[in-house]
Amino acid sequence: MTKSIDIIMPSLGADMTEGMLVEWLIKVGDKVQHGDIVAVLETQKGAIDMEVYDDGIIRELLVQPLETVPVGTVLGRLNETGLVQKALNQNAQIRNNKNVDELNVTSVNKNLYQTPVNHTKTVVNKSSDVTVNASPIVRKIANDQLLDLSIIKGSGFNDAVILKDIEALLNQATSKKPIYTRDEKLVSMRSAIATTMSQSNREIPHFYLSLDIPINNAQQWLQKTNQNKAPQTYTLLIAILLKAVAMTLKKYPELNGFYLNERFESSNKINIANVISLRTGGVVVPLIANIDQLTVLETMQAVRDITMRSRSINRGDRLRSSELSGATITTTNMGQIGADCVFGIIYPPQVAIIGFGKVKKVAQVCGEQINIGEQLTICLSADHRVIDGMLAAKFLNSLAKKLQKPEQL
Amino acid sequence: MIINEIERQIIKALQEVAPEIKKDDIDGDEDIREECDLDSMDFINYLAALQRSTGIKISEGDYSNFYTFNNAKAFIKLN
Repeated sequence: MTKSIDIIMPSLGADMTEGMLVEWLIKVGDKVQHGDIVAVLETQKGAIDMEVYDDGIIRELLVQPLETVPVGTVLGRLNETGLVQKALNQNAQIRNNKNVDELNVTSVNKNLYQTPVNHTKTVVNKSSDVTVNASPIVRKIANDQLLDLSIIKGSGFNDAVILKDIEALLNQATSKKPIYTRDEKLVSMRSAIATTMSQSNREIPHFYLSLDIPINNAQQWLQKTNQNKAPQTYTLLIAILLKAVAMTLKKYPELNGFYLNERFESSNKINIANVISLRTGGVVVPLIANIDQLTVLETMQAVRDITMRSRSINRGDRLRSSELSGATITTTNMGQIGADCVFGIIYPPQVAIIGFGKVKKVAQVCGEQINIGEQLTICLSADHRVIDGMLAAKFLNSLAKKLQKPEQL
Repeated sequence: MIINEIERQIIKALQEVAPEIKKDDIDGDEDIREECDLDSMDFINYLAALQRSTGIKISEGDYSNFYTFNNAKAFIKLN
């Protein structure tokens, strides 16, 4: 029996209340698979590629481009094809709780960008009378802003002009108004941060611990690994730190999961969100899925990838919806410019956030000698409803041990 | 490469990670990471962009030659 499945405006975290559908990348009748990117959304977290989580054929599209709708609104429907009952049950469970979106996580190495399907229409561009293949949103913008689409090389199906092809052009034209201005985006992002952090501070009984951890071995390992490496393949300390956190969480699952409906549920996935600051102000917090299964070098690739997409370094490369929901814990890194330690505010419904201070040269006592070594302070903010002080301390000490043997990570 | 072209390439590479940066914002003898507010990820991405645009091989041992704008200029001129 064919089952109809709703495609809804996703919640990309507790702080998201609404989103704008910018562009559909599919049309009615198209076949889609779990993980396919079907639309571009504009949210408080910036422009996001929205994925579908079911296999099926698009039956109807209910929301038109440039409409802003609340989280949970049905944007379209698909007729499901060939799903096993187990997956159906899991998806139903996930929809019941929009914050716990574990199924939606994808491996960082998996290229989800399928060949774009033909969702475009051939139109006659008024300004040039040339037949142009373009998506609905592109046609609307082109019409509003008098863009000549015939001079733009499209990267969609049949060379159709899609949104990312005209983004650069729109940004160059200072007189043209983008969908949201930079200031509007920043205000919206600040408001989202304010809502979630206030809620967290109000509801979660935080407590805080820190530990100074020597990282001489990690730095030596990095030096060896990076010898003669080109910048494209250079590994940063953050990759070791994230991998070490992931491996330590396997031993301490009480820090990895969600507190919902007055009970804690640990997650069998280790999806670490990492706070990325934006030059324009504000932060985004995308996750790297299953870090425990990645090598340190793969972790570095993943960090580099999400950082570049978060900061829109290559125009048109965006974060995906699955990267903004389903994180099981968060880390924040102050880097070299930053502070000695940072105690973050927990991102609900997670139960812990780990802060990395800056690396410092310090005097270290080794037996009867004092050596100059390097250390950083690792800070843990934990939810006392789930975690007790001793457990948190054990976690930090275990993490410190892991960092002494980077070659085993 | 002539000096003006080298400067242009450095600024272009910097702008890939810090689009708002202009030549006048940079003191050539100061640490470019502080001048342009680059974190360690920005810095390696800046070097990667510079390597791509100039074709000059930049390996880990050379990174310290890029800590200031003027040192970077000198390094590229020599290589």
